[in-house]
Amino acid sequence: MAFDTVLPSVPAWSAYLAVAVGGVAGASHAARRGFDVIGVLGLAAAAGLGGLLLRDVLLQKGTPVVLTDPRYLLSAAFAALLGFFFARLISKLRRLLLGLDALAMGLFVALGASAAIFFGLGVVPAIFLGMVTAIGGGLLRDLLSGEAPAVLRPGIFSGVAALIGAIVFVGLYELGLATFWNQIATIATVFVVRILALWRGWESPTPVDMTDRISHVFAHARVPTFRPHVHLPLHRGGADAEKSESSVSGDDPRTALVELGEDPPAPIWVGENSPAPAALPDDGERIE
Amino acid sequence: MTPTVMAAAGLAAAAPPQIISLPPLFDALAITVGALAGALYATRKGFDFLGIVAIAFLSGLGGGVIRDVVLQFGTPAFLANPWFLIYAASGALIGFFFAKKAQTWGFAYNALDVATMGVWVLLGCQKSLQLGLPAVSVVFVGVLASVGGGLLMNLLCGEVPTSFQPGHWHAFAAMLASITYVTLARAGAPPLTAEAATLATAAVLKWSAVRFDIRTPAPIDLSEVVRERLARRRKPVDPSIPSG
Repeated sequence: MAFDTVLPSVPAWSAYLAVAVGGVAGASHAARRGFDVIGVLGLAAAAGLGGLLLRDVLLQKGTPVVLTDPRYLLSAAFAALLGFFFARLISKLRRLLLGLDALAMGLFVALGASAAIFFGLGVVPAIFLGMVTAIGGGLLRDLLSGEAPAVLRPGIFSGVAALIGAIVFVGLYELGLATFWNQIATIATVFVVRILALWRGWESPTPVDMTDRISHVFAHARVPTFRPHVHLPLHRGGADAEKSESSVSGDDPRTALVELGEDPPAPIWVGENSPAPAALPDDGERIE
Repeated sequence: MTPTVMAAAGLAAAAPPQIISLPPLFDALAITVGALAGALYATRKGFDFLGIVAIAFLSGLGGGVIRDVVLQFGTPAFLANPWFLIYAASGALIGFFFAKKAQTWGFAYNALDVATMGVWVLLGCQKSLQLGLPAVSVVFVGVLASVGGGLLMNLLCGEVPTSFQPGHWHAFAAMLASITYVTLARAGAPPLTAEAATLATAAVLKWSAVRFDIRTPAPIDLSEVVRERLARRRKPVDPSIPSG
């Protein structure tokens, strides 16, 4: 497609190399799981070309570039051959492959975001498309091998690195930096973030439950509260009964309501950190 | 390289070859058999009515959908042609009501299954040739179109795709059939000959895989072999020691 020659200015072979790097990772992924030739070929193609394919399918601007330019498919096939015959060598060169993969991811970010910009999409879609292009290959690879995608699981920083890289690319483009240096900066950012994350053991954030922090607002406002001990009989009783009894006697806002003779509103969400409403009386006791 | 060789390798653009569309009977058979396969699979997994119908539609139409979406060939064929959904529905209903009958008639079902794989290959190859894609991409799309339905079916059932695991070469046969079609079409063979040869190649390869129990090769590790070779070559040759 024409747009690949419009914006990017790093040499074209770097894209083929990036596809091959992703393909080798996909092929060794397949070999480790005992897949056959087609599995190795398919996962190499998915991991190497998935990002660009996903980008072009999402953009809907003609046949995907990975199909119109045969060199992309040939690089993936070459990677599959490497993975098919040299699985052990590849697993020995894991560190090198990880570094190359970090470099390739930066390039994919730039390719995705620049295509979005070329077709006149806004800033946020461009960031999103850059991220999708970077993580799409790994996503498809894991999906096709019947696993939860590694980018979506905690502990691996690649998705966040791609996001940061995409923000850098689009931001620098908006500032008017020449495309070549913009791409170099993006690749360097993604590489540094990923290597730093590996080195320092950074992990992507997991969900933070803010419910407990804002639940006192609802307690004072006397909004009708969802009460698990009424609606969810599963929560009645349990091992945490004594613990929750002692915690109620503190300066918990809920104790004030107990003294007023009202039903103490239980927390909306009973998580690990919140006391279980086990010490509350049974329905039968409350009637008398 | 001569232009023809480059065109065959897909490195240069070539004029789209002449194509004779398959008669609609082939589409009907391919979709119905694909849907039937999906319905039988879902029945074996103990799915309910909706599950069986969904898996059957996915298995019967999924390959075409993937092909049309990836090629960006406009509206997917099963939406543009209202008959395709009816074919898929009939396959699903046959599988839902006559699962036992379909199993006792296994030989006929297998024969149809073997015969229809080439249709998917042909449809994928022809559409990508119409777009003037290089040969490598045509083969890729041909395999994708024939494997895609089963792939989607496996993914929706939460399993590792069977076409990726060692077993009878379904996808490999599709690949060889695609290569046959591209080679013949690019070499200027009459369109009917090329299509018949592709259908025959796919059918024979798939049948022989089941008949002679031919299985796909798993990865071979050549790392050690290559390292030994290199080490032997790198060993310093002492001139004072006579060789032999």
